[in-house]
Amino acid sequence: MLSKAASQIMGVTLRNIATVGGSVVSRFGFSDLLVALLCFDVTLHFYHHGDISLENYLNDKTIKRDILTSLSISKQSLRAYFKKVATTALDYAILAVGVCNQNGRIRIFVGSRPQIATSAPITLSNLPKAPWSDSQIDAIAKSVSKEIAFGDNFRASKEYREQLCHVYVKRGLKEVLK
Amino acid sequence: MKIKCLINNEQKTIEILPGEMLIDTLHKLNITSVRRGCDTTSCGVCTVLVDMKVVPSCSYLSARCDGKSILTVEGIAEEADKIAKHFGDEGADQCGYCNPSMALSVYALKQTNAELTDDQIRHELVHNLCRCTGYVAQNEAVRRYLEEDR
Repeated sequence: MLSKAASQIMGVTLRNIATVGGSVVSRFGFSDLLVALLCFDVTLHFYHHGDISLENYLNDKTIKRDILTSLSISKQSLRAYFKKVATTALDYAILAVGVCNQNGRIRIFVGSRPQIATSAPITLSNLPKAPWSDSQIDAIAKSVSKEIAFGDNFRASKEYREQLCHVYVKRGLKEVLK
Repeated sequence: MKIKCLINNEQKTIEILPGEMLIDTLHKLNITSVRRGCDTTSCGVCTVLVDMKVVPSCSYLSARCDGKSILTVEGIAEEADKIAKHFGDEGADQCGYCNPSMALSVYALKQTNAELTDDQIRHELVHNLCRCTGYVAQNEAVRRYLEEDR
């Protein structure tokens, strides 16, 4: 999944000079890789601030002017889905969706909203009991697309992103629940 | 600052500025096949090979080249002629501005010796923009070159 997400970033030339650390530290809203990495348990190791999870780092804007020395991805068994939607191969994404299922723990991440990637505010407690029917999956995807904040930019409108989110979260859920 | 590198198989010691980009260093050495396009890594016309990896020279610091081998189309003249012949045979050539970078990318691809489908070739060359041709004839020329000598 990580290689799939990385392979869709611009062309080979840029990928030959870009780094995972650079993508992570910059907290770019358009980053595809962040969405894919969020599906895993990723710990960032900073020189001054020490260890912090990727999700906390994205939410904690106080960490500035530090050096990311390394990052570690814990080995785990999960089913994951990633989708980047862009108008052309070399353009930034209109939307990036990541869905993962770790032993029944479902998490959904959405990036290029156009703001920075965020997790969908769903928890197991407010989900219906599995296995889900197609209509239940559709309803969950719809509620995710309504709850996540989207915005406009020159690539796409807020409403278009919301519709894309609904469709791709639904496809993602179906994929990870197979 | 000074860097030592192999440029088109010739050992060079070059005086550079700390923030100088590789494209500017190559132009100072009168290597003019490396074209300047968007200057933001998007168009691919400034592509060169550093240690056989395609990189955008507009955004690659010359200081990073210390101890490395740099190839421009002047350094692969024989292979570039073969690529040019395929481009000519397929009518894939118009203004020629993107050709040196395309030739380097295709040459680097050939060195991997991988058997690629048309989709994979397109994926590998997506960074080389051509505003003239529409890519169909180019892809055919590239495929023929890659299949040569196989």
